Amino acid sequence: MGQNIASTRHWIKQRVSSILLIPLTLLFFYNFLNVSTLSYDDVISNYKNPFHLCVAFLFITISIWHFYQGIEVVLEDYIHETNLRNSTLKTLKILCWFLTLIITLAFIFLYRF
Amino acid sequence: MVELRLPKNSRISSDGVVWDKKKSSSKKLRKFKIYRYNPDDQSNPRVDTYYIDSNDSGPMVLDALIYIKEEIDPTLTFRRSCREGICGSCAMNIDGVNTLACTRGLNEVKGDVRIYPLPHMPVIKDLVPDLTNFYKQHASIMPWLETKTETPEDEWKQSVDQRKKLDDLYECVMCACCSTSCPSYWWNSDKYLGPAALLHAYRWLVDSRDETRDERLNELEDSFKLYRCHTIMNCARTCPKNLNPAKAIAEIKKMMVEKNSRNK
Repeated sequence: MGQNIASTRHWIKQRVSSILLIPLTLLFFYNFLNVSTLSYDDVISNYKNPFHLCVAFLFITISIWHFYQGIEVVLEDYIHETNLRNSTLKTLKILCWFLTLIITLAFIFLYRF
Repeated sequence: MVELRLPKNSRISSDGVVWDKKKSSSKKLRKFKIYRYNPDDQSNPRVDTYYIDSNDSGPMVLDALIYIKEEIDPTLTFRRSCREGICGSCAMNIDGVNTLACTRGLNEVKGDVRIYPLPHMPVIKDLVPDLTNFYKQHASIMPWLETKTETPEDEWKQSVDQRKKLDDLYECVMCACCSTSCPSYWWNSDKYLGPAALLHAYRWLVDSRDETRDERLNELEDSFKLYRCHTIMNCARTCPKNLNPAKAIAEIKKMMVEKNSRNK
């Protein structure tokens, strides 16, 4: 094994998330544009469809994951002080998880009620 | 944090010298603006202006520099050797592009000829950058054949196809044009190996005679040494030998994935 296999894993994860986002972005925006002219109730019922719900949920959560991976690289590039970099990364990680949690709850709420 | 401006003592002052315009009626009078810095002067760098009749010098930028040094200003300092794109000594930033002065024709440069040292490197004097770290990084990738089996009596054999894999790699002359054009290398040159060293690393990774591929890959597997390459492609665009270090780096990343899935 390499000295730092985590670096290769990080690179693979970035590729995987970006590839996943290609179809998800197309599907999400296709549906988003379709419902943009509908009334509130129609939009809610559209998103109650499990397929549309899954696409929207996966698109948003994988986008957050991809964002975090990208910002991690940017911070490593430009912030050279280890403490500042690590604390910024930790804060961002907590924010991303918090955002994912809120989105998950929102989607559960949308589906159940 | 990364520094967005040059340190105070590296900023270019406005008191550059304008050397006398040569008395010439020729229409081929070219204006050269050349970066000058002498650490002994204890002053900031400046940009000097020279005028040369293109008929007086050879056709290349290096010829003009040699003419300036011999006929106008003997204090102008730059590296040079082979004058045919083989040694990589005369790498500098000409007209905003890192290239070799000996292979860049004066007729390829439109307007004033602006000449600076390779960017983001400590300057020793005028157009001479300090390449100590660059060479150290090159040495770190073990740019030599490493074998484990017994040395054959005659030679290490290689088929024509195996040899072909080294094309577009072995031609690198280590001029540092690529590394010094890479923004990732600018910000993290202490940790990121840069396109030149990684191109050489790949050259040894694909050499059929080398028997330490995994060890070489293990050595490179690091979020800074290798993965600072963000495929910006400045390296491929600027290479005076028309090589593609970005492609070599992408191949190393693929080899890294293969190695890790093989060793699982």
